[in-house]
Amino acid sequence: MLNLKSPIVKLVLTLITVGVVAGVAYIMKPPIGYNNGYQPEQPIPYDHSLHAGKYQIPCQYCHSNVEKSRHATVPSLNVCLNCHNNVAADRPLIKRLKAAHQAGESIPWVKVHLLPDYVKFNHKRHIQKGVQCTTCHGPIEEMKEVYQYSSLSMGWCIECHRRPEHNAPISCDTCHY
Amino acid sequence: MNSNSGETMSSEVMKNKSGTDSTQKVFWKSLEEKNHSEEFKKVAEREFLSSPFATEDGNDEVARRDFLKLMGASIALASTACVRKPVDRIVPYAEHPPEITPGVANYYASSWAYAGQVTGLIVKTREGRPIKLEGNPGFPVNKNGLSAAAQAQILSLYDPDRLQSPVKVENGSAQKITWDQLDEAVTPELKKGSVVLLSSSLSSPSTKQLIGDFFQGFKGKHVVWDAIGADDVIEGQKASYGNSIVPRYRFDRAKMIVSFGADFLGSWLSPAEFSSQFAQNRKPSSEMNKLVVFESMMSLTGANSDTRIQVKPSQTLTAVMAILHELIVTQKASRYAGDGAIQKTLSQFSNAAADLGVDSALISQIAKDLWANKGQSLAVAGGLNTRTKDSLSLQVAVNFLNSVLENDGKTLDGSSVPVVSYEGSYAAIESLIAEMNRGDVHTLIIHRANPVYALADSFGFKEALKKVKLVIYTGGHFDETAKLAHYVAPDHHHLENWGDNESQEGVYAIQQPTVRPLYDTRSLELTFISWAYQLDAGPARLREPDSWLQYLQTNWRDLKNKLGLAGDFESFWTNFLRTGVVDTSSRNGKRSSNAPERKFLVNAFTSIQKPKSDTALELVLYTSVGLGDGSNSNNSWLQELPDPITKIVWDSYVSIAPQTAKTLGVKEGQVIEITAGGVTLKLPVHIQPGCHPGALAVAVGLGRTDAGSVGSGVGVNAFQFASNAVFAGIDAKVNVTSEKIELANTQGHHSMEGRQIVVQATLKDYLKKPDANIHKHKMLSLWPKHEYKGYRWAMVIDQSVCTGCSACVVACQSENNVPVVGKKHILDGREMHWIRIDRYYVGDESNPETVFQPMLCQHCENAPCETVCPVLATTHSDEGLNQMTYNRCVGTRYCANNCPYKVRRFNWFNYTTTLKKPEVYALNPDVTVRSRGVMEKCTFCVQRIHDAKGVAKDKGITVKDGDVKTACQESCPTNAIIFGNVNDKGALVAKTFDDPRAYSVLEEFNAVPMVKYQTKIRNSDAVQSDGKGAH
Repeated sequence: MLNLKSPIVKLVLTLITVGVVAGVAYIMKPPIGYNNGYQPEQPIPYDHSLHAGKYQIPCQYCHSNVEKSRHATVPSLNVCLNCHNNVAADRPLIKRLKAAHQAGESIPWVKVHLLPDYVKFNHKRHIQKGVQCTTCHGPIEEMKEVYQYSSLSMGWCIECHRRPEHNAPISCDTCHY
Repeated sequence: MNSNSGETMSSEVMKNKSGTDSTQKVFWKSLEEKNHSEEFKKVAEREFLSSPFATEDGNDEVARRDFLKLMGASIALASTACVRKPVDRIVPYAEHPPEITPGVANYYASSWAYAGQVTGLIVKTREGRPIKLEGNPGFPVNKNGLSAAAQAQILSLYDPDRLQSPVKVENGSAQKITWDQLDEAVTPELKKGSVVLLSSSLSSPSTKQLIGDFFQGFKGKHVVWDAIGADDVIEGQKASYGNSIVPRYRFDRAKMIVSFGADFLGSWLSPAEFSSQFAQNRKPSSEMNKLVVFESMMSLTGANSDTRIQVKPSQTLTAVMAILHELIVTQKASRYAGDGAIQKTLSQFSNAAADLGVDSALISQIAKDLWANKGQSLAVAGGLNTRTKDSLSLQVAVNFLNSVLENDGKTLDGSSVPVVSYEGSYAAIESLIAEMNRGDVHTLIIHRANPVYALADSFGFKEALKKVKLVIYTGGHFDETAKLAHYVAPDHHHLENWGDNESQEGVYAIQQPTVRPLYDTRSLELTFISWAYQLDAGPARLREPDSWLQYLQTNWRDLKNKLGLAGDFESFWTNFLRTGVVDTSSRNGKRSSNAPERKFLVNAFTSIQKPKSDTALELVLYTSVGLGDGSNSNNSWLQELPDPITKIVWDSYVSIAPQTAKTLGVKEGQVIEITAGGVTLKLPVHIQPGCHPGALAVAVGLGRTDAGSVGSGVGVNAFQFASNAVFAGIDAKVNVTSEKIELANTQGHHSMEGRQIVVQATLKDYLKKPDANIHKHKMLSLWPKHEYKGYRWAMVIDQSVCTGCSACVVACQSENNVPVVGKKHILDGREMHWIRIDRYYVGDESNPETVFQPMLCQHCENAPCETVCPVLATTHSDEGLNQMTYNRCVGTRYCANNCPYKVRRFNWFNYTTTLKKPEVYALNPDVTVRSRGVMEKCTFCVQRIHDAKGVAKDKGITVKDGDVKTACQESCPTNAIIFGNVNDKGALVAKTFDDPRAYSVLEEFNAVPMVKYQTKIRNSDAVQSDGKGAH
């Protein structure tokens, strides 16, 4: 029978607990909770490396609200069909897109870059300051499927905002309100 | 301290304190505080108003142990939970509407009309859904001001209890049907004639024309009735001048205003408009207006008066006659002085001052002031609380007083640009009930009215309804009237429907839909068009349109020509939609100049008899600021809006004077049985300083049985007392019971321990010395000063023009996603409002003076909350804002305890999770929804500051004065709130910040608030003041 009051048993149990916690921590490796590398499967495997890379379509052709709004916005289906009414119109996925548009339905894309509700990021301000899309989103033109390039953690935001040459605000209420 | 000011103040205090116990505080919030009652001391000394561990019996200990156990368990659970990547979806439009940019708001001009009151609106929409209402500054009636009830319409749009389709009513329960089934059932009956449309006042000229067209096709008529309307005023105008209108009151032109019970700042007719007008001459100067109020219960108008005189409800007429007698008989003023018949009528009132129990010198002074301001004074009477048996005589007497003072045409306009939106009358519904009883009504359509709730049973409406073959109700809820109808044909919400509204003659507002109808509802107008089309009845212009919009536009093609508006229709219509307003009343200065004076019909006056007033207790019903006639009872924002005077939420109660409470031997919350108007109802007592000892005051609008999940079963339906449409001066018998109900009163909470908080002074003193009665402190500070290189946001609130109307409270709630908590949590002191209106009484409890002080986060320079936060969740921004970072907050609540202004609010629960779909659509996406365990408070509408800065940055400039308006400021009808950048020396806020009348609350704490208050100035000879402060 194990004597729970014995100091040796206590020590062993403590060591086991510490070991388990350390092990879990190692498996989950920092940064815990940040999603860099997150690459979800999309309902239609839209290929950025083809559109933005090979064909060099400017980002703002599709993400047209990025300089007008705090959201960059995913394009509405009619924007896709500007080209795809004719281009590759016979492919099954394009047919699916067209059918959805005709039915007035949407495509439920999976959000890659997810900020919590209490963070208000404004795309418009950054674009107007001349920040490149790739600074935060990485080499989109090489991504077959989009993944999260930067950590999007607060430390990552602040690191850039703090640089004197950027002259960016660092008050809490710049982002949190 | 300035010794000079000390002298004047102490003499002031001496003068005012004479006769009162020196230990008593002069400023007080509640009777418990004033009398230093044991309960008050207990509450004030307690660190927390409510303990997080409190169990039912208030014993903390067991609960605390449970908490620790739970705490341990949750830590264990949290550490084993797996880390999951959240999956969220982006669903773009299939076809992008060109006017919408996700994340950017669109604004549309619209309007809201209910029971004659027309409000111009600017609707803020995001991604096609309305989220906030503002007043339309271009609409000359309410301008930027927007009442609490109007603000709250956004929530009523998303009310989950709304009917979602037409229904057939069987034995009081609803059976869902389609519109085709409804039409099929209704149309054969319509052909049989005797159709009656019963509605409240509809101020839409196009709807009224459509109804006229409808009745060309179907034999019948339109009956108009408002539960709370202006028929008393209209009848009085008709008797006095021969025309049935509501005059356009012009408080902005009046230097001397006497109100006989008319609560024009709170609930009477058009409060936002009147408040704005009243405030124009309310800024302290030698031109400042003076307000005298005669009333029985304590109304918002009475609370704002310079002189308030209590009269019994039945004696309101006597008060008018006392002044007329003084003017015409005693002072022999005016052109009527020699008229024998008038003298004879007035001679009945030669002892009026004594009858009223008022010093005759006071009456004489009021009469003198009125005469000195003839042509620049205004007397008003009206509203439920003046509708005694003698209501008509009161109206005639007040009209006569205005004619005597030569005000007609000057301070009130009854002929040039009168108000045309009120049509309802109790006489109309009484004769309709008689017709129904005779079986003369075959089909009854009830639109925008709830007679089963708002008519006392003694009217016999319910019984009469049984004799009608087919009853169709168009209300949006399955409410009291719906249950007794045969079919319910739910109308759109006004934010979903087209329309137009005419308020004053020639002043039109467009009603533009800002969201597609949420449910399968249909507007009354389209319903009528459909029926006319299906039965091929009525004129072609009714049958032919495909939509109500088409009818509306056709009608405006004609109206445009009739009104003589130039240009082609398309550009006219576009402009109408853009501005929201067509105003022909301003042409040739018609609106701003004097109207022709009307001839007073003296016979109406000489028939006035002295009213009997021998009853001990009289019941007086009144309209509350938030809930009105009860149509908004299912709106939780309005249920939780503290009444501006009593500060009670979520309940009905009877207000009685402290003296009466003593006589009856009742305490706050004790239930009494009131028998009046043939019914007996039980109500808890609220002891209300300033109430006439002979008056029992009860608000209508509560006691709905079928309002919905929010409003049903809250309070008591006081309309039941009003038999024969008499709402005041009802002889009442009282029976005291031993029951007790705890009333949820917010004013007892957050006590500031009697330091210098509100300051008031007389106009005389102010003119001599602008900082009169302000006690200044010399402050030394250990803290280094913050540096503000760019903006520095600050606010000044003028207590002289703040009427306490509480529009800002609901505006803030709507803008900042402030949750509603319900009565139980209010009793625990857990209300969440970021801005509250503190109501202070000054002096004598039988008739105190009242000062309102909007209290919000003061954004202190040396903020006490910032220094105690262990996790730096609340910090100072480089623009002077006291920032609250929700995601950092761990909920220690140290900040709330260290805040001298008691403006921080803690989320004890996840209140927003109680929101049902579609209520969540009313949330502002620019403001974080707070979750449990997080502290929150006023942010100075930082999201609006960001917006304005964004616009300025786009243009490459800085934010200019007036570019940022906080939600409270924007909705304030009196512009009492000024906000802006004090570093901009030209800004209004910077100038006002240094005004000698501006002071900081609790200056001696050296928190250095960035919200300053301007002294309440009263245009009276003496005020109660605490002078040097109680410390």
